[in-house]
Amino acid sequence: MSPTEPIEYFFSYRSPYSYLSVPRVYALPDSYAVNIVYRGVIPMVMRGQAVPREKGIHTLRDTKREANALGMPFGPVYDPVGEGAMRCLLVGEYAVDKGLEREFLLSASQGIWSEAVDVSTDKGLRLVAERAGLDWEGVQSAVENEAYRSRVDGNVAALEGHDHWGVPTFVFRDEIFWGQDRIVDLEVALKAAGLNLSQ
Amino acid sequence: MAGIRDTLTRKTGPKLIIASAGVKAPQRMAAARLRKTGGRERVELFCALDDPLSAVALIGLAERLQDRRVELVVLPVVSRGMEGDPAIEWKRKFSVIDATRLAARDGIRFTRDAIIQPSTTKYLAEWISAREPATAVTNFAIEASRQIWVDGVDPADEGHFAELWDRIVGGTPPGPGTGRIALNQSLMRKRGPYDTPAACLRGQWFFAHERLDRIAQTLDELGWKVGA
Repeated sequence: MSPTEPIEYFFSYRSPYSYLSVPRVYALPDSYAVNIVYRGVIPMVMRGQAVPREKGIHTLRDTKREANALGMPFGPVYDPVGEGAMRCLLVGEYAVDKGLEREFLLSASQGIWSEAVDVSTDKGLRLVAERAGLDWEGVQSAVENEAYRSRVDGNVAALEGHDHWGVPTFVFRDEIFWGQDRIVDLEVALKAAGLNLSQ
Repeated sequence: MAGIRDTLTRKTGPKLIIASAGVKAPQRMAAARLRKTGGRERVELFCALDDPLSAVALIGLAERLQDRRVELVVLPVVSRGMEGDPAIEWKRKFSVIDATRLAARDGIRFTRDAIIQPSTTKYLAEWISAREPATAVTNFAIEASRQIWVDGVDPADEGHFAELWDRIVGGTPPGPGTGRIALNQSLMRKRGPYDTPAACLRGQWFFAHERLDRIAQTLDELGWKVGA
């Protein structure tokens, strides 16, 4: 197997744009010699950053238009801000340990943004976790796991260490790409770096 | 009570907002009526001359609106962005990198890698906003942006841009204080956008630099196709 280079993937369960990015991000290793390093971060509003009402409205409308263009379902949604987002972040770390973060991101974000699953409830969280291949017992422990909480805080610090705040954000060789619609620009950088597997 | 409030804010509210996205029958019918009477569609673009992303939007929209019965109305602003945004300076710096990548997608090479302060290009916003929207004024805005970000012309060179104004619009630029920047800023907030570049089209708005093709697609859906 050829060596791969990491792409840091800063992701928020509360960000519909993050949801749109998941399938394309995890398809990158099929075409490039890269590995995706998942870094789940706490939503902006839970980090004390003010978000105007109009931004929230625009984001939902814009995501709907983009989802249509990508052929992805969008709505019905259940905004996970608060406990739901935090529980997903902790389970996301458990999924990393199990090598199932791709599956969990797909399942959880799809549940939140196209099936209106309330992940703050056990019923909702269990649904998205089990269909990602995670065991419910492990998930229950994960949401109480302080080490996972520290890892999430570390992810936020890493994002801030890049002087950045928004998601989804991709970092490749210290270069920042911000936005689900900037994956094409990231691919330009990957090709320029000679990482295209078909070359 | 908390349960009902949660459902309203987390599920019902988003559902209504999502349902309002995209082109609907009333918008299509209004566009069809306008076409029947020989009218032209309007795309309003709130932009800033110091903003490289606005340059991407101006140049990109000009290309995509060509050969459509659509008027690009340029509404320059100076003050914009989220109130109290702690990352405003960082965003401004990052916008140059981002705009350079976005322009490259259209085969355009931005040569300027330094930010421009809004005060530097305020006179250009004054000139453009002093005139009623017209093709010549729009063309001036597009060309001025292109010269600043692609050709690397010094944005503070008022003499150079006065010559450009004379060549494209005709005559001397409007005098200081005649612009309607404050009015544009207030109109932008009223329409919804809080930052530039924002394109408004029949009640919908887009961050134009990253939604150029989506704007073109929306115009297609409204019946304003190329050559139609």
